Amino acid sequence: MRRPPEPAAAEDPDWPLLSRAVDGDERAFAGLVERHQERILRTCERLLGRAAEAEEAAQEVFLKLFRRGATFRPQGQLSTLLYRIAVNHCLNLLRRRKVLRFLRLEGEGEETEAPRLDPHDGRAGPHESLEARQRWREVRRAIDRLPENQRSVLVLARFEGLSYREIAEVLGITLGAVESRLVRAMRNLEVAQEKGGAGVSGKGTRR
Amino acid sequence: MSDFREEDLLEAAAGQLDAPRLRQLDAACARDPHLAAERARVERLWRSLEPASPSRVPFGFATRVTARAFAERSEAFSLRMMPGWVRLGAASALIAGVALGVGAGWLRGAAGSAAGLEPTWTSDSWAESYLDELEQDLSLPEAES
Repeated sequence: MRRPPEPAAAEDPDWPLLSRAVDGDERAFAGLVERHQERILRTCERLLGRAAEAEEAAQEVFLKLFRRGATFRPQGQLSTLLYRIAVNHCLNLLRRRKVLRFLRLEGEGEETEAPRLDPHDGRAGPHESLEARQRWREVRRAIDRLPENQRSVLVLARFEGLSYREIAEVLGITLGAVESRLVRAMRNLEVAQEKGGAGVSGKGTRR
Repeated sequence: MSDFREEDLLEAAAGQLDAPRLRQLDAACARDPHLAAERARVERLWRSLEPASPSRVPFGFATRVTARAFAERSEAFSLRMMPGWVRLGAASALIAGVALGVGAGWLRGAAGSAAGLEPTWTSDSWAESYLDELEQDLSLPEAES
């Protein structure tokens, strides 16, 4: 039997949707997927760096939610739970990929793929757009090289716009850890951008 | 030097610094050009990571996921999901079957020993004992010479 939702969870319309889905309501589940598909796909793509793999991963995230739907306790926002599943799933895939790369002796560069969800500005001209895309590709490569724990914090903070508190909740870490990981991620990106000559980093001295 | 750390500057860039602290940071930057430069550097770096534009969700994604989820569920339909009485009946039938088999075996064994029947296979080799059995049972008459 499902436990009654906690006060914060009671305001979240996603929990009743999940409950109905678990009870066999396909439309409720489809509605739930539709509400969150964009952000979960984006998170998977930012974490994995590969469009094709991201779609499969996002599917798996929703399937995990569905399979274990009856066991989840309605607590907080369902989106936080989804992010948690997504981050854990993607980190597992990245670890698996690392092992495979080691076994096949692949280079890192061989796996780089242009992300489908590239930022684009409709107002920009072809040259600007090309430049922006090139810049983004460099940023993307630098993000891919970040350690997993820094990458997840950066993706959730910068691309998903989650608050530090939400990130701490998703990743199960302290606020201090979120802050320090983000700072380290940004420092690493800055160094990578300076090395790569992306021309997007600040040139000021760091303390 | 002010009491603002790089973490605070990043928090300000991310729009997560609370209003009173942000005002303090503004004031501190107005006093300290080095801090102002540092803040500008962090903000520039933050902005360089352009947030994603509205992503293009693959067509029919939700439908595909939903179909997959419910297909998996129907495949996973098992005894565990059946009503209690069905599970109880199946378990009882299994136990009764095992008990019947064990009981019958035991009774037959007991009846066999009472009749003094011994296993006829004495050879280590199944093939040999089979041939022996054949020879005995068929008891073919030897060709008259």
